[in-house]
This record gives sequence, structure tokens and C-alpha cells, in this order.
Amino acid sequence: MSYVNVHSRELPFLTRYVADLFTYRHLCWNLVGADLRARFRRSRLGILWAVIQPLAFALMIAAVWGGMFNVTDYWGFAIYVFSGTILWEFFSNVVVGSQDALKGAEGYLKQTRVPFFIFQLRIPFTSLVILLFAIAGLVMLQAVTQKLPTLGPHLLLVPVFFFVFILFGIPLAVLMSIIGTQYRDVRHISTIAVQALFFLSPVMLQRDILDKPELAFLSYVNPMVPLLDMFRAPLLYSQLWGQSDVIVVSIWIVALWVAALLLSARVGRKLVFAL
Amino acid sequence: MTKPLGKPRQDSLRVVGDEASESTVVAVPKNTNLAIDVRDATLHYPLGAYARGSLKSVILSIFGHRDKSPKPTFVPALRTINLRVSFGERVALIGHNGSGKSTLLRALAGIYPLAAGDMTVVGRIGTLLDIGLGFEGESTGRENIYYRGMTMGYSRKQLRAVEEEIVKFADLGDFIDLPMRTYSAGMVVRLGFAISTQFHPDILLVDEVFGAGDAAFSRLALERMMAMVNNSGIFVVATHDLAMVQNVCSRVIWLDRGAIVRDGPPSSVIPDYIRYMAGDTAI
Repeated sequence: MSYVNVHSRELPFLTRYVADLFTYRHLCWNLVGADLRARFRRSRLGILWAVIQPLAFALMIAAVWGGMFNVTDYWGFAIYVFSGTILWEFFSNVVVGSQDALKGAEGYLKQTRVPFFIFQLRIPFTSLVILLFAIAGLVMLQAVTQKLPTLGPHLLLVPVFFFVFILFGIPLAVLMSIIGTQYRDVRHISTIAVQALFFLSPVMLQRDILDKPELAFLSYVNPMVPLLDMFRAPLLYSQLWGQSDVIVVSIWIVALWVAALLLSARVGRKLVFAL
Repeated sequence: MTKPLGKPRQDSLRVVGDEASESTVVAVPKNTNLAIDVRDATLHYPLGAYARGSLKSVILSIFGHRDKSPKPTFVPALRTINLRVSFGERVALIGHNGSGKSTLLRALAGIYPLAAGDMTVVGRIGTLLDIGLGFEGESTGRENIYYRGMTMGYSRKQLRAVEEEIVKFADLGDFIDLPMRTYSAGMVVRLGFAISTQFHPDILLVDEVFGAGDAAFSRLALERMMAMVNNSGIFVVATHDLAMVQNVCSRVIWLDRGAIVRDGPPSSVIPDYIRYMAGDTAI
């Protein structure tokens, strides 16, 4: 079976697909803008909430959790929790939020042949913008508490990290949007799974706990462990990335892309019937 | 007085500016290669979760569990459709509800994938299907003009050039700058119609939208719609409005249960269809 819409001349499938993505790129950026505006519209503090919310959470957790575990450096721990929370927010949004990405785009997808990918990019990009705002808050908190990273080549890794993180987030969003559209129960399961994973990730859990031999496997099976390491190393500890973290994250990214491409090719546009 | 429309991605439209009559912008197709070619198209509408998609059945099937009474997994919505439409044809799809008219339109637009067969559509496609859907409720009407226009493949620059025209035609007053969740259903359709009819595609696929909104708007809408139809190279409409078919269309395709029953000029197909609907004859 085949469907071809010829505009001026016939093009091979891949060229046509890339050309379509290029045509609809404006739509993608504008929908990201719409999501951001919708999220903070009619709120006096607007996007500042992207900073205030995790900041309040970090300060509270640092006080309670830090007291329980006898943490001596309160501000250091608050910064640690803040950095973990904002990264986790992205991950949780992508895993859970993406499941609605295609359902929410039904009105568009049932009117024109827009590539699904345009809508699958929406959540990771929106979450990335929020993350970037929150990081501005993180750096300010570090400045106020005089815990800024030292200057050095490790700081070059900070922008690279966002590239790596979005490379990780996009295929995850694609997979979750397809699975979530086909199996509506996954939303409930994934909410529980993300919550469980939260307690198995060094978001507010101190990193050294995960170095125990019986928990070391988490650094491989839970991609957020090495990702959090790679996020914090240059920003919090003025260090370069650890080799094993880079390898594990690379494997995860490749695996997710392969899975996302295979699943996308398999379901094709048939998914539109499930909307 | 008027702004000529930019034309996205193809060269088959000639843009005519001031000499156009009622409509402010008229794009006259000159590409006679425009065509729709459908060969043995079959489309299955899956029943999804009702048939098999539940997670429970997937998990059980891993353990070798098979449903003892297998339910149908799809409805055949189009059965071996063969069709060729050439430049200049105005085609009406008629038939009962559920006969496959809207499905065929969506398949032609590339929205629904085929289970078998081939479809080639040469020309830029424009659709008027579910025009009230696909808006961002939290965004204003004006913002949604951009989103909808971009869904149709136009750029911000092209849309900026026609924004005021769309706003004027939709005639929503101050509501245009309010979030669309505050709109009434009629207002949503008016805006959807104003955006969707602003551009004139080569191939126009319409699903029963004659008469959007209130009576006064309907008359204007019909005029605008007809300008769009007249400027399209190929026009395909799914409708129950036989009077419109007789006035506008040059060819009628009668569908029943996803298959073509009759295909010919309105003068020969419509009388048979009316007799059939009245119960006087079998197909």
C-alpha cells in the first residue's frame, strides 16, 4: 500500500519526510510557545514559578531530609536537591506528559497530514525551556550562597549536557506518545513507575548511597542516575564527566532512538485511528 | 487594497490580485497535471481497544492465553476503490451515513492510511474537515490563526499578511484577542472556517461544511466557499445536499458500505440514488 502526495515533483520517502518536518517547523516552535504561555498565563509571577516551585521544594527537603541524615552543609544540600528536582521535572513531564501528545493533537492530525513528530517534540522542548529557566535560578542560588563552580573547561560541558539531555528526551517522548495512545492504562502504570524511580534516583537521595555494591546496578538500569551525575559534575563540583556515565548514557540514547524509530515505522499513521 | 497571497512550496498557482471580483485574493490554478489516482484502495478502520488493544489481553497473550471467541479487529471502511479524478472535475461523494464518504476524503488527504492499494494525489491539498477542532483553548483566536495556518503548511510571514483579512471575515469583535476556551461553538466554527478558506489549494477536499454558523454568516460563508471551489483544480465534497451537488458538481460517486456503487454525471446518478433512498429500488 502506498500514499503519495506530489507537490511539484516526486521525492523519495525520507526526503519528503524531512521536507515535511521543515515545512511544519514553525508549528512546532509556536506550539511550544503556546504551551509555555498557557502554563504561566494569568499568573502574576509567570515563568518565575519554574524557579520558585523547585526552589521551595529543595529548601524544604534540605531542611527535613538533611536533618534526618545529619547533613552539615545545608545550602550545599539544598543546591543538590534543587538541581535534581529540575532535571527530574523534565524526565517526569516527558514520560507522563508525552502520553497525551498525540491525543491532544487529534484536531490537527485528523485534518491534515502533519508529521506526528511535530507533536511529539512539543513536550520535550517545552520542558527544556522550563529547565533552562530553572537553571538560571540554580545559578543565582549558587551565587547567593557563594557556591558557584570554578571557571574551567568543565563549564563547556554544561551546554553540551542540554544537547545530550534533549537527545535522550526526544525518543523517550516518541515512545511514550505511541504507547500511551495505544494503551491507556500505561498512564497509571508510568505515574507509579516514575514515582518509584524518583526514590531510586539521586534527586534528594545522597549520591554516595547509590555507590553501595548492592545498589550499584541502578547506575546502569536507571538512566537518570548517570544523567544527574553528568548534570551536576560541572555545575556543582567543577568536574568533568565520568567515563562510565558517558558510556551508559550513550547506550541509553542509542537504544531509545532505535526503539522509537522502529516503533514509529511499525505503527506509521495507523495511530490516527486510535485517537 | 489587497495583499497577494504567497504560495507555499509549489509552482502550480498563479496569484491574481486586484482584478479579482468579490474575493480579495484569488489563486487561479493553471497546472492541468493535477490529479487523483486511486488503485484498489482498501481501508480498514481498526476497532482498537474494543477488539484487542487492552493491556490485559497483551499481558495474557504473553503467557500463551488466547481469546476463545476472537472478535473482529477492524471494520472494512473502504473496499477496493478505483478512481481517477482529473483537473477541473467537481466530484460529490454521496451515500448513507457510514458509507465511507468521509473516510475516502481523509484517505485522499493522507490522514487515514490504506490497508492495501495505492493512492497518488498530484497537487497541493486543502481540507475542510472538522474545522471546529484543533484549536488551543488557552491561546487567543489571533494566535490560533497562526497555529491553524501553520498546520496547513504556511509560514508566519505568509500568515501575517492575511491575518487581518481572516479576523475581518470571522467578525468576532473583541473576542479575537481572548482565549478560545471563552468562545461559543458557533464562534469556533466561524474562525475555523475563516482560516481554512483563506487559502486556495489545488485540490480541495470538503466534508459537509456548507452553512457554518448563523444565517447571515452562512450566506457570506457560501460565497467565500464558492470562490474557493471555483479556484480549485479539483474539488471533492462529501455531502447529503443533493441540490448543491446538482448546482456545483460535474460528477457524482455513490458509495455504499465502502464500495463505489455508481459513478457518473449528476443527471444519471442522482435520480437513481433518490429512488434507492425512497426504497423503490435496490442498488
